[in-house]
Amino acid sequence: MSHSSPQSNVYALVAEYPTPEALLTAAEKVRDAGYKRVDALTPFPVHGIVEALGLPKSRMAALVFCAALFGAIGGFYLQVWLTTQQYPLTISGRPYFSWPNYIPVTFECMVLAAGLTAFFGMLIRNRLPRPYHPLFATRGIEASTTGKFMIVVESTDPKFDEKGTESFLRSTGAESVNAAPFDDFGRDQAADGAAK
Amino acid sequence: MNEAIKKMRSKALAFGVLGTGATIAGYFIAGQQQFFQSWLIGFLYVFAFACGGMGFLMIHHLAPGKWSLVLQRLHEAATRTFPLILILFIPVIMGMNDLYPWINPSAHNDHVLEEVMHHKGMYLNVHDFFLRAAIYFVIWMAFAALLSRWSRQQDASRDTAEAEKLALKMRMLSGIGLVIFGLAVTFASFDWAMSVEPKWYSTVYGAMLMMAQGVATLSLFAIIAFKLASSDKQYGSVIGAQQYHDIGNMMFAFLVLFTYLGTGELIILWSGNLPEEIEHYIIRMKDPWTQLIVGLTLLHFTLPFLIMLWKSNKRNPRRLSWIAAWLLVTSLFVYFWYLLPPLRPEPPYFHWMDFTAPIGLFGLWLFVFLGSLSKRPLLPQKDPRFPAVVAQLAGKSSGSEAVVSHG
Repeated sequence: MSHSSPQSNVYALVAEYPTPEALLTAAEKVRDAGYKRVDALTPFPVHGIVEALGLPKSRMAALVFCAALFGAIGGFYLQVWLTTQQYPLTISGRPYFSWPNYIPVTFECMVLAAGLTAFFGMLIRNRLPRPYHPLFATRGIEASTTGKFMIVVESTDPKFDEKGTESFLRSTGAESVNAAPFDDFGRDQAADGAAK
Repeated sequence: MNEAIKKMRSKALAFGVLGTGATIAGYFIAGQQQFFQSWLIGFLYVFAFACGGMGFLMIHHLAPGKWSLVLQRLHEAATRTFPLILILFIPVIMGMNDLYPWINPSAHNDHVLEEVMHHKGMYLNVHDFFLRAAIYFVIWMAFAALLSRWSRQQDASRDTAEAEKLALKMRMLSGIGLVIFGLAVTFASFDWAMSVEPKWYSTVYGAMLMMAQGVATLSLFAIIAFKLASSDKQYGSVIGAQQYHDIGNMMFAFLVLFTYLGTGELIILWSGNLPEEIEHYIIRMKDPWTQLIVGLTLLHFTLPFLIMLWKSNKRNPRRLSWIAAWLLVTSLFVYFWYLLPPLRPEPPYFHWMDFTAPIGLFGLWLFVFLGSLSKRPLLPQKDPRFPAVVAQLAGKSSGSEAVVSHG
């Protein structure tokens, strides 16, 4: 892409921190320095990291809410239609439109629609399943699933500058800063750029 | 005494005197039956805060959560109001004959009631009613006294070992205590509230009332915590957006659970359609009770539910206080729904004393509660969990999650 710059050799810089507290303080510094294309890798969910990194609010909640509403209305209407229009049956003398008995199914339809939307919406919006990601090639990246807390700054960030960003990340208390090289596809592109 | 507490206290006293005064005047205007019915509503409305406080205090000791430390002293002060609850219970006893049809079943020209009481009389009789009431109050007051006493000893403890020993003691008592307390509230709710319709029964009644008490208690304490935070510097420094969020989540959970139990009861009774159970709904299927239940469903559940789905509404203490104030008001109508239809079969109506009695008793209760609250430090500073709470908030003070500013 950016043929003029050799920086495209690097997909991202990954800074490593020992504790969740160190990660949160560093994340706030990264956010305040104006970096936008950032992410955090942690072995377990760290409270407040989304706010500390200044990541945009997820729109999943709104999507799930709409799905829940759709499921509830759909489930309720399905029962109304079946029991009053499609196949009316008298059950122990109750009226056809027996709304108290519709509540459990309505509730279940709501949960089902919300749950499926949350699950598949999460997969789609995270572009999962994804067998390979450039970050996998970073040295020591496995530690982010066991005991280390990491901040990723992508090279596509407008403020990104390999040397400057690296020393900045070190100044936030990172134990080490590693570069994630591009995958083969990205590297080929970078080589193309260098040849021209 | 804290400025905010002082202000709230004088307001509470004014409401208490005016409301109770009007209710007592109503005794001579509207008659004693009206007075006792309204008093029972007011009594149950206020009883909720003492019970809620004790339940949450025991949960707080039992599950070592950090979020409820800011409320511990509020819970403790609420449990110390049981003597007042006992005083407010006296008019209920005086009005027993007007409130509970099971006392004199033959006077109601209802042979079903007589037949039912023939069997239920083993439990529902005046002698045992008094005996059980005495047991309930002994249980509640004993737990309240012990937990408050150990908590005071913890405040005076010299080292962490001593403080931790006391924390363990409170935890042990709360473990057994929560079971005994839960049973006491359940049976008290059977005796004092459910027995206004003695032919009917519901095993979930006690649990349902406890959930309603939980909603009311947390709502009240959310407001008081916010007031304290804006007037007391130290209190304000340990309560942040996260704590309000947690309180809001608990309010939300109890509200949903309350609705869940009520809906479950409806589905089961309605599906069974048995004569001894369904009467509960039949006597409520007329104006204004139908409007009451539609209003409760929309305003006590649907609206607050939707508002509290938004995270920001729970993290902002000002907005949370508004929601809490709303729920405090709508909580009163829950008691209307459960008690008024059987108390006033024909003709059904609301009375102005149904409002003055709860307002008056609530004012008196709040006055006593705040007085009790201000006698102790507002925070359990020697609690082993306390340093972690301070550290958590201090660590976050540089971020956007900082302690919310109070104005």
